[in-house]
Amino acid sequence: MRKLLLAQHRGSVESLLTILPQVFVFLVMFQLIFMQFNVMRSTNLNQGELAKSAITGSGANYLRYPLVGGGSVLVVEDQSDLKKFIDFGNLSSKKIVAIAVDEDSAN
Amino acid sequence: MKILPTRFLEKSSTGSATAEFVIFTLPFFTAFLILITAISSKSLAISESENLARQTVRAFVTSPNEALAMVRAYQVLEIYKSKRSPSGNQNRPIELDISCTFYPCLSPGNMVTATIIVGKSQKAFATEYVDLWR
Repeated sequence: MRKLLLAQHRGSVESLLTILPQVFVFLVMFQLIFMQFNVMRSTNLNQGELAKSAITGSGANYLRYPLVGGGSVLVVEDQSDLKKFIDFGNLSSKKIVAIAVDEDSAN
Repeated sequence: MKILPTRFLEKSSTGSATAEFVIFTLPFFTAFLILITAISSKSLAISESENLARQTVRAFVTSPNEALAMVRAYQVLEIYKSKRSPSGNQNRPIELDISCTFYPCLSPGNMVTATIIVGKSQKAFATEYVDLWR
């Protein structure tokens, strides 16, 4: 094994030309996973925050729609740019909608 | 004759890196890209359907009377749909179904289940009990 690691290997322009797209494609994949993780994270955090607001009646960053028969529906619509560590000059935006029922009409 | 693994790895072999890239790497990454996209849309659909099922059943069981219960559940759904993108509504339509253990649904202690179907395959359930002292 040691012999293998210390062995000299020859490279070529061809191998460089194939390594570069491979690294690029790999980074794009990594970026996609990172973006997906961020969307899921924001979805869960927004939903948690809104559910808390529906229980306590606190918070102000939501829209309140009256529900027939009493109570209301709280909605958070969050549209923002996605965090990216590889920027190709294009902006990627995400839209997250969180919804919760607040059955207390006094809130 | 047995060949040692190190000998096999050390052995030089001829081949085209470009051909290997096109034949092996690109299909692998394409499959991986499809997998990532599928996981992303599936996880969003799961999160969306589970939350909607919880909220619709909540709106249903907190209704002041039987006549408004279904209207409230559908109102929650319609508000959510109005916030989605038109393409999202077209590609992943949302359906709601409410079932109860016995009827009328808003009887004290009755178990109400909301089923949300997003798109073709994603299904989520949420169950709540009608208040015993209503």
